[in-house]
This record gives sequence, structure tokens and C-alpha cells, in this order.
Amino acid sequence: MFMEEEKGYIIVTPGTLLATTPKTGNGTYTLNKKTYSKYLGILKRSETHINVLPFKYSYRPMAGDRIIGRVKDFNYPFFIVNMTSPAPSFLYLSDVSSRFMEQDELMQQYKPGTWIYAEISEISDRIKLSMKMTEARKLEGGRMASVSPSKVPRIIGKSASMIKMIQEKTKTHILVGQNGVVWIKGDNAGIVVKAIEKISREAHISGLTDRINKFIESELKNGK
Amino acid sequence: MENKLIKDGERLDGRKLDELRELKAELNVSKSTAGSAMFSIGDTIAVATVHGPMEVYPRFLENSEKAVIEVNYTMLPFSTDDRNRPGFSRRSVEISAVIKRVLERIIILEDLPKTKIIINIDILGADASTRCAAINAASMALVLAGIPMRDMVSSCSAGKVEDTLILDVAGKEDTEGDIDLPIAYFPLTDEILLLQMDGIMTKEELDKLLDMVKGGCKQIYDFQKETLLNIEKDLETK
Repeated sequence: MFMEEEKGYIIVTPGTLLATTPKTGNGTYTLNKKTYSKYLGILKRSETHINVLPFKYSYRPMAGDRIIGRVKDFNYPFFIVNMTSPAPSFLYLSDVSSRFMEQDELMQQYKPGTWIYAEISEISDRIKLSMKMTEARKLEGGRMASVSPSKVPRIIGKSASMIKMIQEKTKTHILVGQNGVVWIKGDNAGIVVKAIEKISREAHISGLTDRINKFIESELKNGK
Repeated sequence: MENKLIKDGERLDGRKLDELRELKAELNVSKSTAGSAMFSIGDTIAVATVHGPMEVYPRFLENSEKAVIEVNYTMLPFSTDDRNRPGFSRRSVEISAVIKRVLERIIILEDLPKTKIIINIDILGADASTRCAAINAASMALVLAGIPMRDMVSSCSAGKVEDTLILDVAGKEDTEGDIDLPIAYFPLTDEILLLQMDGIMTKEELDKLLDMVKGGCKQIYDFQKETLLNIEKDLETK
């Protein structure tokens, strides 16, 4: 009805009929053996699946996700970490580091307000974080940016092509959390924030990496 | 016969019997919320803002199988001709409750266990059928907030004035008419999620009125859909 085939992508609203047979996929549901959309988003069809990529959705934690969060409080035996999801997550003292550290030392290092890069190790009645992986770290300095979690795959790009390109061009260091929080360190952090905003606006239009490449080049020229 | 409400099939404001007032909508009116929308039909203006999904407080309301929703409907002091006392009234609590029941049917609550969604609806201008405008605005704001939904819901009112059935009651027709019947309509399964009525009418009249009001709801549904699809086109050009 309101579809636009010629642009290469189709926008759907909730309740749009996608297939007259029950099909599996993300962002869809079945009712009376028909498949409908759940979100306002971009329709992606494959032979077996129908997916709807929402423009915006709230982050739903999954075990194994790497996230950027902020230490809110300490309450023995765990730190409470805020990671922009509906429920807070918990970082137990035993999971903070792979080597043994005294509680006093940990409390000195992870004061409330500290940003950390951690992994979700377990989801049971509460969300447990772990910092035992090698990439886990405390984030010092730098700048934070926030995007919708649905845009995170676009910021990283196919086999991390987008993020590698941005890092090389701007000579910055970037960490992206699955929850949509981005940490940028370097002199050109402002340009990266602008580029990320552009990505989240134009994620569904093809040729994204080239456009971001041109955008960063022109921004770098303007800066000098 | 000067103060007749309907003359030769035309109403006071020049509309036909089965014509809606002018529809307007604006999306993402507030940046600090997950999603927000303004919906206006004639002089009735509703602004809905959605917060969440978030943690459930108080804790005992938490449901481990589905989300909890909270609806706050308020009419602002300047919305009516006489100043309206700010805060909750008996009327606003009732309307919040009926809107909540409508929205519970269209949100897929099972997808968001242990969370709470707050929907605040403010009426900036009241010229009859405020609850309809409120439902329409809330439905659009929920879509923009990225909350999983079965479908959008649209709502519209109808009534009887001087033994004539009319769509979208407004102004004098509301205060002097015989019947006011707001409904919320779920187009996907052809269900009515809200039906309130005051006045007396026959069964045949009700059937006719329901057909008419469903047509109005479908018009509003198409308008909502078109607006939502257009905002994404605006995004690209920015």
C-alpha cells in the first residue's frame, strides 16, 4: 500500500501484512497463520525469513554481549552498573579482574561514575557482568556517544570495515557497546560523534561506508 | 429555527454528516522521551509521550511474564473555556483506565517482561472527543518509541443530534446532542477495544452508527500510517 520498491528498501509500520503464511524472523509476529510486522522499520526478506529492522528499540540484554556501562553504586559483594537497559546489571567482586585484588583497591578504582567495558556473563534473575575477558577495561578520558542499539551493527560494519575506516581516518580509538553506547578517544572525537550521528540517520540507505568516508574527509579538511 | 445544529445536511462548521474534522499530527515533539507524538483533530489537541521500558517501581507491581503499563491522562488548565483545575480528577482517572485497557491489547506485553512503560497524555485543547485524540496520539508515540505492537489503534467518535446520526462530534454538538459514542477500533482483527456511550438509542441506530464510526476510524488509521511513513522520508533529507 505505502511501499516504495524503487528505493531499494521498504518501510513498514506495525500491523502491516508481510506474508499470508506463518514465517519466522525478527520483528514479526504471527496471527491467524499470517505474518505481521511488530515495529516501524525496514523490511528485509530472505527465502526462509522475514525480518523487520526497527528504527528504534530499547536494548534487551543477551548473554555474551559486550556493553559499555557506568558504575552506579557499590553494594557488597557487587557493583551496580547502569547500562541503559530496563534492569540494572551487577558486577560481582570476583568477576572484576582475573587476578586477585583487595576490595579496598577495587572500590578505589571503580568509584561511582566510572565507565567500564564489560561482558554479560549470565542472565538469571539478575544480569551478571564479567570483566575477565582481555578486552575488558576501565574507560578513562575520551568522549561518549549514544545511538539506538539497532544501529550498532551499521557502526561496526561488515567484518568491522566501518569502524576500522573511521579509526584509521580520524586516528581515534573507538569502543562500541552492544547497548548503543560508544566511547571515543582521540583528538578528532568531535568528528567521530558527527559521523556516528550521520550513520544512525542514514543506516538504511546503501553505499553508507563511502558516504561516511567522504564526510570524514571533508570534515577533516574543514578542521585544518 | 435559528439555532438548528443541522441544516440541509450540513453542520454548524460546514461539514457533511459523515466528515471528520481536519487531522494533523507531529512526530517526535519531545527529545528527552523514548517517543512522542502530537495528534489533533479540529481544535482537540493531544500530546502523548512514552517513557521506558524501564524498571518497575513499586516492586510488587512487577510481572515476570509481561510488561506493566501506566497511563496518565490529564487535561491542562487552559484546555477548556473555563479554567480546569490542574492535577488528577475523577474523570481523568477513569479515562486513564479505559485508555490503559485499549493499549494493553495492542502492545505485545510478553516481549518486555519485568519492565514498565509510562504513557503520559496531555490534552492541550479540548473540543469534544479528547479520549479519541488521546488514544490516537498514544498509539503513534508508542510506535515511535520502538515498542513491539500488534497494530496501531485508531479512535473516533460519533453521535446523534436532532435525530440525525453524525460522525466526529464537535463543539455544540457535544454539549447539546443526544448521544456521544467514542470507540477505539483495531483494524487488523476488526475488533472494538473501547465503546462508551451516553444517551438512549435503538439497536438499528447503534448498528448504523457503528458502521459510520468504523469508517472514520479507518480514515484516521490511514492518516496515522501515512504520517509515520513520511517522517522517515524527512529523516533522509536532513
